Amino acid sequence: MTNVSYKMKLIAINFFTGIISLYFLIDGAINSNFGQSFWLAGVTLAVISFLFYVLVLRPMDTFCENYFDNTLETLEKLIKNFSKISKNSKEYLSNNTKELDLLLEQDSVLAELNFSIDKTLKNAEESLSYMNKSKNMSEEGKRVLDGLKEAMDGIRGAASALEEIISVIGDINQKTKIINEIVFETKLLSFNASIEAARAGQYGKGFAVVAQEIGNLALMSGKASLGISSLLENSTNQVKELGTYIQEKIKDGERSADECKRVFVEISDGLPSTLSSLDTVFGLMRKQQMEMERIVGNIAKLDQMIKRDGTVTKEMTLAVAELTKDADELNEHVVSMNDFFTVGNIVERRNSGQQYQDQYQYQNQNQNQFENNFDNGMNGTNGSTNNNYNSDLIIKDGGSNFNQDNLFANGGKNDSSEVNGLSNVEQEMNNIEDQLNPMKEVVNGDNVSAVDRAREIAELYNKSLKKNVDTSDTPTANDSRFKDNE
Amino acid sequence: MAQGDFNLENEWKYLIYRLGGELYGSPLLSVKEVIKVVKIKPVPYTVPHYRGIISLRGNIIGVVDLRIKFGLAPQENKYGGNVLIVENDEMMIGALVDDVDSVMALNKDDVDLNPAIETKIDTKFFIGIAKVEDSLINLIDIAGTLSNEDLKVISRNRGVL
Repeated sequence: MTNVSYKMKLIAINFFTGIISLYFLIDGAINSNFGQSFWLAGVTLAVISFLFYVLVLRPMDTFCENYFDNTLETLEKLIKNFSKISKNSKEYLSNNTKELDLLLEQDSVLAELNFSIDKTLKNAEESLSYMNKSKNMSEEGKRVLDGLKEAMDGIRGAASALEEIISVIGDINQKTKIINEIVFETKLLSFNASIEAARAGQYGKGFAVVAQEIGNLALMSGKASLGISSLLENSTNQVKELGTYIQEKIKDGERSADECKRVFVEISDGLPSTLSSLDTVFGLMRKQQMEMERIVGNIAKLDQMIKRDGTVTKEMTLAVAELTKDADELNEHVVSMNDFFTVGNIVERRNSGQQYQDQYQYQNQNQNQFENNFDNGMNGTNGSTNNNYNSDLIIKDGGSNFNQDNLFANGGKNDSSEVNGLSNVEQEMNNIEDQLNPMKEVVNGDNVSAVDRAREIAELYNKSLKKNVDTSDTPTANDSRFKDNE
Repeated sequence: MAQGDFNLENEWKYLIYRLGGELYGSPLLSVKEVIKVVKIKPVPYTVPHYRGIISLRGNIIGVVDLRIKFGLAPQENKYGGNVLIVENDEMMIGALVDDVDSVMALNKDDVDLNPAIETKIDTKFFIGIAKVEDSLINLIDIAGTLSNEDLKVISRNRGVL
């Protein structure tokens, strides 16, 4: 408004100067004192005001007309481009949503895979613990078998003690043989005594009885000795049989124990290799799990990125709205200036600017609606997959990598910076799309395994992040998308 | 034999011995002594049943194997065997038997003096058969059973020595 009042002041001063000069001129004409100073002053003022009009106000008007014409043209272009940006942002967002859906699908598959890996890991852990248990058991079994072998040795000692018994019995038998000898001798003695008694006749009658008794005793002794001998023989045989039996059984037991031990040794020897292979499997599984977790993490990151892109678009849209608003304000100024200079076609231009603005507002409305839908969809998927994709968190630091503050910082100040900002935005969009396209291809690729795909996605995203940083630092005028659309 | 020197009770006392598992008996008074078999020294150029000579308290005594003499299978004595020293009018003879069993007093009723048996050897030295508790015992006069030829051999041996 200061510009307007200044212009008005200029015009008012010019008008006032004209009036004063007219007054002086008329006064001079009435009084016919043309030679007087008042008349001269009137002439001078008239000349000055004419010159002011011709030299200052007219050229200024022409200049302003030309200048604002150009400005308005630029603004028209600007607004047109804004609407395009808005449209493209929408498309970009919808594409992103599709990609996100694909990614989320992938993510649920990955979650399932992760779950199954978890389960397998648990099973493997269980079997590992069982194996450890059986290893301990086999060690225990080996110890028990060693004990058994010691016991066997003890029994063997007992068996050798049996052999000692046999030798003792042999000694007894030897003694019995002596008894037998004595019995034999006694018998002979008794026979000879009987013979001598018979020879003594009547006198040897008593002695014959004694001899007979001695013979009987010898006979009894002989029988007893014979009984002892047979008993000893039986005992010896039995003990021998027992000894042999025990020895055989000990050998059998030792064989069994050795076999058992061998089996245990085989088990406990085989267990470490099984354990180590299981450990290897375990390690691989853990690695796989870690990779899986990383993949899931990357997908979460990716999700964040995409959301952030959404936020960027949103912010971009907001910035565009701001820009449009600024442009509108600028337009208003132009209009008011042109009003002042009474340039007729300004009104028309103003109307067309209003039209653009309306169009933009409509689009912005759609954009907001779409974003709301998108957020809702995101929340729904969050609920189903139970993954912690905190959209608030994402929005909090969203866009910090994309430098859109720089992009829009100069928005609305002057035309050239606006154009630069716009080209940057377009370029940014193009870059993002260029980076997303291969991702999309990767996501849609059927022959690549899920893990590899996720890994590739993560790598691509890392690359894109780097690229983003690079491009935001050094923007290049790569405008192919917009050119194609035009 | 001076029969009158002995009473009837002693007449019927017999020394019972074994030969090849069978029981034989000889009058107790015909046997002078029973000895354990010691080392019998074989003598060359003698009949098969003449086993050799032994020394008994300084006397050389010829030993006849009754098993071989009686035509039984020859058998080594399990327990060393016994030698019955028999004395006749001329000399002492050792008779090798398997084992001396006992001294038995026989009743007249238990002895069959005329059994119906056929034998190759001279039956004048066969006294009879005694029946004792289911078993039969051949009663033999040992001194008589040794033939004159045997006696000659033994006598000559003694002469040489």
